[in-house]
Amino acid sequence: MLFASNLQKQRVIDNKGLAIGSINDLVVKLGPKYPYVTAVVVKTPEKKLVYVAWEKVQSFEESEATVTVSLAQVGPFKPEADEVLLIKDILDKQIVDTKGKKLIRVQDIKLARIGTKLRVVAVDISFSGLLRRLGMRKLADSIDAHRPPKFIDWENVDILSRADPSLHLKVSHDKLSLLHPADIADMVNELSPKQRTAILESLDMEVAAETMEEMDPEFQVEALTDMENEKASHILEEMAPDDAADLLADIPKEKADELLNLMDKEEARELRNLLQHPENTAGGIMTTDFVTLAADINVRQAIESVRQQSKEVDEMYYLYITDSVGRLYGVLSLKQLITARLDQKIEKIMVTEPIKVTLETEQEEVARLVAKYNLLAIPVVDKHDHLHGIVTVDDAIDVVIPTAWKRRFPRIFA
Amino acid sequence: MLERIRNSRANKIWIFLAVLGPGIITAMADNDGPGIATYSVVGARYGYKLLWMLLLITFSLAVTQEMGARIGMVTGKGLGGLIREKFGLKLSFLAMSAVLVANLGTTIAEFAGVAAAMEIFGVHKWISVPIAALLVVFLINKADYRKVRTVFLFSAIIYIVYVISGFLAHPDWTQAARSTFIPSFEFSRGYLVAFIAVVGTTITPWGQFFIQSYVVDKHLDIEHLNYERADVFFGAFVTDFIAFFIMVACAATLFVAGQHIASAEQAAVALVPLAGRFASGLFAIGLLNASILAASILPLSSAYATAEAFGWEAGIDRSFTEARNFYILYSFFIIVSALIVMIPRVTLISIIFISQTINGILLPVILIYVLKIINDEEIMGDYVNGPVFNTIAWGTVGFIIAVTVALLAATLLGFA
Repeated sequence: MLFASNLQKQRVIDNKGLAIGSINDLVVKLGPKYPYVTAVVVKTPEKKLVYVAWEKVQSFEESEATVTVSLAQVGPFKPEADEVLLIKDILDKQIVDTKGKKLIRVQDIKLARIGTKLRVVAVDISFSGLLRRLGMRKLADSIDAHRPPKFIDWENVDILSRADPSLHLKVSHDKLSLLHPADIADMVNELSPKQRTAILESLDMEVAAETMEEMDPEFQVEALTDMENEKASHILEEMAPDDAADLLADIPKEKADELLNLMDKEEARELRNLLQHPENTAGGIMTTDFVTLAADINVRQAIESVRQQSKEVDEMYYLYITDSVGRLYGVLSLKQLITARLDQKIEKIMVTEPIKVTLETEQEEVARLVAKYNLLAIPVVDKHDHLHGIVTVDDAIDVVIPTAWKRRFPRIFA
Repeated sequence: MLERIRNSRANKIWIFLAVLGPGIITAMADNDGPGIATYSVVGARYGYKLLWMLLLITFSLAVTQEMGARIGMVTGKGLGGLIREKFGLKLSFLAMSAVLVANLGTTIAEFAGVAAAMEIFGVHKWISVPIAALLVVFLINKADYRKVRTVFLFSAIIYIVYVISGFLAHPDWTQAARSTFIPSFEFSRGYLVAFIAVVGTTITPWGQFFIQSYVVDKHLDIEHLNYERADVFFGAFVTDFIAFFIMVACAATLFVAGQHIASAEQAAVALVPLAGRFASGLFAIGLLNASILAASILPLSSAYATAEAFGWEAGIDRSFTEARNFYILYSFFIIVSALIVMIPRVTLISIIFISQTINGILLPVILIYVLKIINDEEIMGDYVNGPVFNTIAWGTVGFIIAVTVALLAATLLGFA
C-alpha cells in the first residue's frame, strides 16, 4: 500500500539509470470518483522542481521510481485548474463535516494502483497515522493491531480546487463508513464489490477494460454482473478477445448471450468462435488479434500492410504468412521484416514450417513449447492448418503462474 | 466638498477605532502578573542597567506583533493551522511542543502570581489558587467576551501607578537615560538569565499566536493594514513604556536599598513613594488582576492553537462532545498549573522568573516559523516582509539564541 507521506524521499531514476532527483509531490486530477495521478513533481539536486507526466513513469515503488525521460526533456511545473498537488494541497488539510465542523486534519493519503493509473482512494484520519508520520512506526503498527485505523473513502470527501482551504465530507460524520485497510488496497481486487464496480464505471472504457483484464477472474464475473448491460458490453468490446471470451465463459449463458447481442457484430462473432473451444486448450486461451501477410509481396508492401493492420492489433511480435484460404505458410519476426531490404520478397526471408499448436492442444503443452523455443507467441491452427489465433507469452505464463503473482512485477506503460 | 472631507476624516477615525484593539489588548496581556514580577526582579537586582534592552525589545515586539497581525489579515488563518499546512506534521509537532511547554510555564506563573498576591492579604495558596482556577473557568465560560475585554482595558489603568510611583521615587534620570541608550553588558549567569527573562516576558510565543487569532477572529481585512500597524506599534510602545517605569521604580527604591526581591511583599516596596503604607495592597490588587486575566487567556489560547494544528473542533461555544480534545487540553492546563503552584515550599517568585526564562529560550523557535511563513510568497503574496522587518526579526532571533548559548556557556564554565 502506498502512503503519500512515504513518497517524499523516493529517488527518481531516468532512462539511463541516472538519479535525477527525488519525488517532491504528485499532481492529481480532480473530478473522477477516485482522482488519479497525472504527473510526478521531481525535485532536482539543484532544488528545481520539474514535472514528469505519469505516462513517462515506468515503475513507481516505495523506494524508487524510474522514468523514461531524461532531465533535459522535462519541463517546469504548471498544474491545470482541476489539478492539485497531493502533498502540498491535500496532506495536512483541514477536514470539515457536513455541518462545517472541524473533524481533524488529513494525517495521510492512501493511494492505489488501479489499472494503469495511480489513484487516491482514501484519507487517513487515525491517530496511528499521526504517529507514523512522526516516525513512530512500531508504536503505530501495534496500535493498528488492536484497533483498525480509520480511513475515509475518497468517495466521501470533496475538494473543490487548490484554493479550497478544506476537505469537505459528503456524509455526516456518524454515518461515515470508515473502511478497514483490507477494503482499500492497491488493487481493485482488494476493494469491496460495490467499490470495484463504482471504480470501473467511473473509468473510461479503455481503462476499464484494461483494469478488468488485470482483475482476478471471480471478481471480473462479479463486476460484470453488477454492471449495466450496455456498459458491460462496451467493456467487453475493448478487452482483448481471449480475456473477453474467458470472462464470457464464466458468466451464466443467458447473460453472456445478452451481452454478445449488444456488442458490435464482428466482435461478437469472433468471441462466439473463441467460446467454442474448451478453456484449457490452445483454442481457449488464444487471441484472434494477429497480423497476416501474403507470401508474394515485397518488404515495402508488407510494412505498409502491417501499418494498416496494426490499428486493430494490440501487440505484435510476429507476422504470419498465410495463403489465399488462410492456411499457415510461414512466420516472420518484426525484426526480420524491418531489417530486410525493401525490394525483397517475403517468401524469401520468412521461416517456413513454424512451431505451431492446434486448437485442441492442452494449455500446459502450449506453455511448454513457448518456453522451450523462447517464443513471444505461438500460432494456433485447426486440423486443416488454417490459422485461427495465437497464444502470446503472457497468456502462456498465466497457465503456469497465477495472475496475482505476475502483478507484483512493475507494470510497463506504453 | 467640505462635507466630503469631513466624512472621509470621520470614516478614517471610525476605521481606526474598529481596527484598534488586537495590538493594545495583546500589549496589555503582555504585562501580566509574571511580567510585573519579572521587571520588578530585574529592576531591583540590576537597577537601570538593563533599560537599553527595553528600547531594543520595543522594536522587536512591534515588528513581531505586526508580522503576526499581517499574517492573520492576509491568510485569515491562525498560526497553528498555517504551521501545520506549510511544514507538515513533524515540524508542526515540534512547534506545538515548544508553544505548549512555554505556555504551560506561563500559566503556572500566572497562578503563582495569584498566589503571591493573595499571600499579601494573608490568604494561603491552597485556598486562593483553587478559587482562582474556578474563577478562570467561570470567566471563560460564562462571561461575555466584550465585557472581559473591557475589564482588560480597565485593568491597564492600574499600571499608571507605576508611572507615578516612578516619578515620586526621584530616580537618577541621567543614569536612566544613559542606560536606555548606551548598552552595557555583563558576562554573568544572573545577568544573562535576567536578559532572557525580560525578552521572554515581553515577546512571548503565546502573544504571537494570540495577536494572529485575534486579528482573524475580528475579520480584519488587509486593506486596513496601516491602521492595524498603528494599533500594534502603539501597543508595543505602551507595553514597554510601562515596563520601563516598573524597572525605574524598582531601581529607585529596591536597587538603591540593595534589596533583592524574593517575595511579592518585597516587590511592593516599589510603590511606597506613591501609596505609602497602602503600597502592598495596591501591588497585590494589580498583580492579582493581571494574573487572573492572563490565566484565563493562556489555557484558551493554547488549546485553540493546538486544536488548530491538529484540526480538531475548538471553541467554548461548542459542546464537550463536539470539541472533546479542546476541552481536555484546556482543563489540563488549568488543573496542572494550579496543582504545581499548590506544591508546598515552592517559591512563587522563582517559579515566575524561571517560566519567563523558558519562554525566552523557546521564543526563537516560534519566531523562525513565523518568519518562514511571512517570507513565503505563495502564502503572503505582496505582503511578504521587507528587508527592515526581516533584519529586526532575524536579528531578534539571532540575539536570543546567542544569549542562550552564552548562558549555557556561563553555566557550564561555572560563572556565578
